Amino acid sequence: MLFESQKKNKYFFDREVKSTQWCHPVLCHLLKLHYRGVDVTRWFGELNDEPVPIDDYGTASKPEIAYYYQKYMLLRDNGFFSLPDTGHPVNGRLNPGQIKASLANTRQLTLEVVDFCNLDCAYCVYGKFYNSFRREEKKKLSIGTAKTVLNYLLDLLNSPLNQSHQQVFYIGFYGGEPLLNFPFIREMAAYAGRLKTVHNRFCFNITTNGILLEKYMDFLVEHEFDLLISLDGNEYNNSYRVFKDGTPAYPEISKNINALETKYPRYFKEKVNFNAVIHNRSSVSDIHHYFKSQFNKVPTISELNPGGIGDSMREEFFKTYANIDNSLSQMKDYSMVEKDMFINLPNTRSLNSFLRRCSGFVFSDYNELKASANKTKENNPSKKSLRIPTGTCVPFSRKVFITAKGKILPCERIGHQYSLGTADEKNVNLDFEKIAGTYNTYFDRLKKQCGSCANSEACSQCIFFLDMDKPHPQCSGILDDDEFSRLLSARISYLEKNPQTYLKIMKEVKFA
Amino acid sequence: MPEESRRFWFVLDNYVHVSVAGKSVMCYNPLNGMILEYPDCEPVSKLVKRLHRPKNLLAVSLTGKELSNPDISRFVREMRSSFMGDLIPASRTRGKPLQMMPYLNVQQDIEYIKKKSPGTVTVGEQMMKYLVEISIYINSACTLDCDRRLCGSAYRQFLCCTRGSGHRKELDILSIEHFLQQLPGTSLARVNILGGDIFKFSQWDRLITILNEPTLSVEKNFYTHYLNLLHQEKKLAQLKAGSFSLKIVVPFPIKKQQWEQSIDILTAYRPDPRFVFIIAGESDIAEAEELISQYSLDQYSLHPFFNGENREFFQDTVFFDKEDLREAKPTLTEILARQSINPFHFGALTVLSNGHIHANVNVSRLGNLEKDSIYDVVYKEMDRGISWRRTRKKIEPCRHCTFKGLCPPLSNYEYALGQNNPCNIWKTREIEI
Repeated sequence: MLFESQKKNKYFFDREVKSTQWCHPVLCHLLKLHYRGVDVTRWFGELNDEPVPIDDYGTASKPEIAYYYQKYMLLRDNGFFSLPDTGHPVNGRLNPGQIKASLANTRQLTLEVVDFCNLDCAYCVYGKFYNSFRREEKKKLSIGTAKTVLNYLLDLLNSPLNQSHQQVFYIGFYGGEPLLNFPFIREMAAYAGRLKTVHNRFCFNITTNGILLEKYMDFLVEHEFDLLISLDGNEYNNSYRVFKDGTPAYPEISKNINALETKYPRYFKEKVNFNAVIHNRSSVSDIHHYFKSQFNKVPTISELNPGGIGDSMREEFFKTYANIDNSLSQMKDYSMVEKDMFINLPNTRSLNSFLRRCSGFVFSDYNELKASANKTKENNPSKKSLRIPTGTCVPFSRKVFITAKGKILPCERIGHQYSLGTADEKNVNLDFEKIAGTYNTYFDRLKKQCGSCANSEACSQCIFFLDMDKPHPQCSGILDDDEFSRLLSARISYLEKNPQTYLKIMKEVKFA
Repeated sequence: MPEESRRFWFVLDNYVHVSVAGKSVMCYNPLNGMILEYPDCEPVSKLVKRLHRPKNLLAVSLTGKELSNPDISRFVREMRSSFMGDLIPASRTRGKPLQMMPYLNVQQDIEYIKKKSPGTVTVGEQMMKYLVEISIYINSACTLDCDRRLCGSAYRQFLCCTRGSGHRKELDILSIEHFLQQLPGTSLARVNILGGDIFKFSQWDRLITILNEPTLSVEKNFYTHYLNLLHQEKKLAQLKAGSFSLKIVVPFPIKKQQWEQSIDILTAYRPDPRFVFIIAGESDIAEAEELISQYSLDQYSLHPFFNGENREFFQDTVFFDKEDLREAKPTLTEILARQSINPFHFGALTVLSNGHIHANVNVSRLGNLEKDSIYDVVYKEMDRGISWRRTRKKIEPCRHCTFKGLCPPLSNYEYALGQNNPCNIWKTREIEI
């Protein structure tokens, strides 16, 4: 595929060789002929001695064209330009064995301790904006169910299906506000401590709004919990986070955080992180400044989820909504923010995705590196593994999420209607065959769309955010070749302006 | 000659492998195998270092004046003519182009994990997926009277039977079974069974049953000396029934009568064995070729064996030079892979008949079959990386050589020869670019 940068430099991206190259305008001219289906050898053979007009270059003499014809042939003979530039079949399927293996290698069990909260944040996913999530029902996850799930997982984690060793396995406490059922957390931590693990070491994490932090901090510190506090910034930035009676929560949260930092400064430094939601009462600059100056921390910043908004709330939601890119673009100088937040910036993530797919120098692990070295040697595209449609994770490859009602999901961000199984005090009901079937049915409904998407190899779209319960789920991220070419152009144009970002990403961005 | 004030963009192609050593430069085009060298040439080395600066990304501005330097002029001309780089008048572009320059990024890079310890990811993360090959020396018992040097050291150079030096006669079958039961989560592709004389293994039938387990659906190779085939018809039939592969080790000189008996047995019971000829000199090559021709052998391999006295033979046949590298034509991905792992050894483990487990039999053991879990063993090698990640980049004198990226990965011959660079290639100190 040919594309050009904002500076009008020409590049080509070869899907098969997985390489992006700058391209001299004369070579570009030959490639345009190639992709149009013209027999370039014949075209060259029939060339007379007249100069040939070349876009954005002027004219090229026959000897000049002869040079680029030889270069074109060299590249072509080495596997470049071998695929037609259209069509991106994705025919991968999941099988039950893969899902079981994925569960045996999962990294985290996240427990929705309670589905209710002591705050009433305006933008909560269980709140007024959303219709796709269930309303809180004051449910608590039973300790028996949580133990049954952990035992079930432990059998798999201790089995030879687990590929890891001496690896951390997190038990995560999530809500609602998980500290509203502290006895559950205390008992689960004690129970996990008594279990025998072969390949993993249990650690704990918790996501809290900080209201009950001071009350329970001694326990959290003693058990070395990784602590993620939801806080949007200063008092104004945080003003959507309120108690049920509308009183701002900031003073209470701030007091508790200060108490934690004062009593346990080392723990605070090593184990405490913040997540801030950006909205119309905050900006990246505000958030960065607040956490840096108050706590010497760099928070993660999340945007409000624009999926599943009720029609009547749409206008109000988008008044509240803000996006990180826009906020960054309004900053005069964001070099400090860029330095601190580099890996978490949207631009870094987009570029990283682009480099993974288009540079030819990024490999997920040593097996992919070895296989790629063999493949390029053998030049055998048939050895390519089949990709599954969309960018959906293999279920449970990252985590297992248990709702307060005992539903089993592959992630806490997915609507509960997509649960893959259930758990109660006695049993875990997971049917791997059925789960594979469900996923494959979803994939079948989308593979045609994915097959028409030029960006399908770099897709990060989760299938569960595509309204799979509707008859015709539609992915809004599908790119045709022109759109994909514009995407490539945007990425390479950014690199032309910020060339040092390239090596910084290649050196620093891992585990993406 | 371009006007002095005219400006050009000089752009290096990003499929090119470039190595700088002091003031010397070597450029290699994997697409056509072309190697260009610029020894002790400061203008070229400076230009190449400029090209590799993070802000330049393989594209720099050159003036007509700079291009009038004879070294730069020659370099640019040769880069163009060998399709490694290009020159375009700046006036015909609207800005500086770039190339995504070759820089290996393995997302689960062990060195990065060890250095930065990024929270939840550890050296042991999904490590078992890397285990692809296991060689098990089930016993050391053998009644053959092979040359002591051959029996004692050939197995350190390539897969070959040995009586070894351990006291243990054979491995405990339960330990083997337990070992193999720990493998379902791996990417295991091959199990090699070796001895001693494998047919003397006391738990042979049990071993065959274990290896026939459907959960172990991988390639399985049995290695035996050709002289140990005699009177083993029943066991050969078992191997055939189990769809195992047989590798016949053949050192020279052969014993003609027994060789012919072996061939008869193989013809009757194993129509498709692979012959592993052990070559210590020119005469062995001639003898192997004669056998190959006379018996119409179509599956065989010749393995040079360093016996301590045939260095000259190795220099003639095994040592490599620039022409060999040009012919081998490694791809850029191969070159990048070799900087990070040793593709010959990565993912392979060997269990000796005394139970010791090695990532490479020339390197200290990682553990013991009876005492250690395979997880502990793999973790240790992933962490220390002495064999699986042993690359020329890390060893003397190769790390100083501009050709280290093109050379084949370190093999066991380097250990046998006591020389890391079995080559005839000019070397110089390297400065990383």
